[in-house]
Amino acid sequence: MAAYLLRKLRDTIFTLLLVSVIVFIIFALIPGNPARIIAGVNATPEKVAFIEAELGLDQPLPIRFINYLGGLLTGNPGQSLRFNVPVTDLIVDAAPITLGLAFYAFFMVILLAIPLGLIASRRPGGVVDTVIHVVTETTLAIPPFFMAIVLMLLFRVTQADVGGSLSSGEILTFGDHLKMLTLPALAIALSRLAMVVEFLRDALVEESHTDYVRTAKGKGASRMRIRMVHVLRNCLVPTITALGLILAEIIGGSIIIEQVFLLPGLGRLLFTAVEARDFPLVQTIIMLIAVLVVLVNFVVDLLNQFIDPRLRVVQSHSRRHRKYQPTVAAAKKKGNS
Amino acid sequence: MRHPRRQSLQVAQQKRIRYTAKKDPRRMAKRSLVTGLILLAVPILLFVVATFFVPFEPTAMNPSDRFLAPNSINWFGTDNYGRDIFVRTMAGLPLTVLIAGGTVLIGGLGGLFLGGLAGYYGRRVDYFISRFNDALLSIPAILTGMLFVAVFGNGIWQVTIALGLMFIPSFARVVRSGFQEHRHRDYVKRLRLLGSSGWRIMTLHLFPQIRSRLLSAIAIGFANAILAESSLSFLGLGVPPSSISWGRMLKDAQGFLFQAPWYALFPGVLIVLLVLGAFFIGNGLKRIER
Repeated sequence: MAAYLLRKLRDTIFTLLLVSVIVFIIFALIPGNPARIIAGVNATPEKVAFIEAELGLDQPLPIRFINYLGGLLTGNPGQSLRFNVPVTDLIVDAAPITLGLAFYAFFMVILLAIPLGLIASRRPGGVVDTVIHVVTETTLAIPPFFMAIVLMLLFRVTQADVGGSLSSGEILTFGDHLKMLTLPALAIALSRLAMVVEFLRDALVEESHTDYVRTAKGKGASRMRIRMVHVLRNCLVPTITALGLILAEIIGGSIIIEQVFLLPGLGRLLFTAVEARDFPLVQTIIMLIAVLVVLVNFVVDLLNQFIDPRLRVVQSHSRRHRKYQPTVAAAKKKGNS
Repeated sequence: MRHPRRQSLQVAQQKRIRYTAKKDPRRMAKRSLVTGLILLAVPILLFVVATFFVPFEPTAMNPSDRFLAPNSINWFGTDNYGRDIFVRTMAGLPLTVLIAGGTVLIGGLGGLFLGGLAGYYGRRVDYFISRFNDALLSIPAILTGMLFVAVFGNGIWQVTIALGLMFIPSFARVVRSGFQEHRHRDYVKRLRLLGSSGWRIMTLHLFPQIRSRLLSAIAIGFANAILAESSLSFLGLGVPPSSISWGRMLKDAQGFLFQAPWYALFPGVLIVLLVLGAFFIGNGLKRIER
């Protein structure tokens, strides 16, 4: 287990490093001189040089990368060019709304997917199963923002009802959040539901043919008990994996949905930053989200290990197997010679 | 004679199998493909009708006809400038298909290259490529789109390249698992012993094995590319304002949601039709392969 944890940790750190390299390289590719773009068309050469020095653009690339990484790690990734305040301040103000929305949507996916999966798997290939399959497949084809528009039309809700009056950094109570974010979260959850339902349903169908289910039936356990206590637990791993896979999409979805409902979250901030070509801000927000996704996936992996001890066994077996292979080959060689 | 109780158990088992076993997979695949083609045929037919048989211009404004509800002349109604929404919606189709096609092309070629290397060589190559894919996957596609627009400005090419890069991992995964499956087969070993180069084995022998899988991945990637492009355009960061895109139409329509719901509904429904059609075709191809 410890070895697995270490290996996973190494992979995660390596992935994070790669993410930062990718984001950094894209920004290094900015055509022309970014300092000139920021300074504007009529800027004097002195001003351009000043901005260049300010951004550290006069340094060679590797040094710029190290500075940038250092800034991220120490929590000081720079100043926003548009708002002229530290990037972190802006993000701290905006993040709760986006993360709250994503978390709420995530929760809704779980809340909707488990009952749907359970119902669909009761009779695989039956009418209910088919209907659930077709409906979730259709919702998958509806882009989240269109889903939001349809929901707004259905419930007669306008933008002003949700986030129109809200300003960034406002402190909200839990109740306010719930009231405001339900519709946006529903829009995201509905369009991302399909995969989780499918994974869960397939796992449930497969598990219900296993020996332990037969044994439980033989012992007289009720159908309900078998499904809720025995089978569902064993289906958690694929479900959690699916949840991890849709996480990036849910966060991406929140960023779009914020624009639909005029919520002042990270999406709005990012949008403003892109329009204003505020590179440090864009860079930091994207890094933040990517780091979040990588870390959650790391947790998902650990969680799966924790829930299903069988995964641990398989892991250690395969490792041992790999370790022994050279020895076996060497022994064979010895025998031959 | 068999024991009666045992027989009933067998019958029960058969019954359960009948409930559980999927219907004939080939028929299911066919049904899926046909559904997909029908769904795709609707926008294509409408496109032909709009370009050849409807006299309106997509950009022609007519202030006296603002916000007309769908009627026999303006089938999808008119927008805030009195432009015909049917013709406008259909004029957006080629661009959508072009961007989605370009995305799939870039993503598919990149995925084929990286996934092929990872799947065929395995070990360290696989490790590094997999981490690279993880890294790409951890940034939501919509964000990379925004990143590219922030750096390179608005435009059709920027959007296509950004989305194409983001679609590499999904294709790479398909190719990688396919190559992995085959690389230890005897015929590959034999080829290697005969002195075939890795390149030759991959292109001539392994690639045909995964062609059908790749086709289904392409169909599904196409659908996802349409979704991603419309999201970007909806944010106003996709195609330039002068070109007609469904995402942008929806963005404009949002201001008149309750005044003219049809303005938002028709472009949206067309996105769904196209995406759903591509999904069905992708799933059908996947089933055929099994």
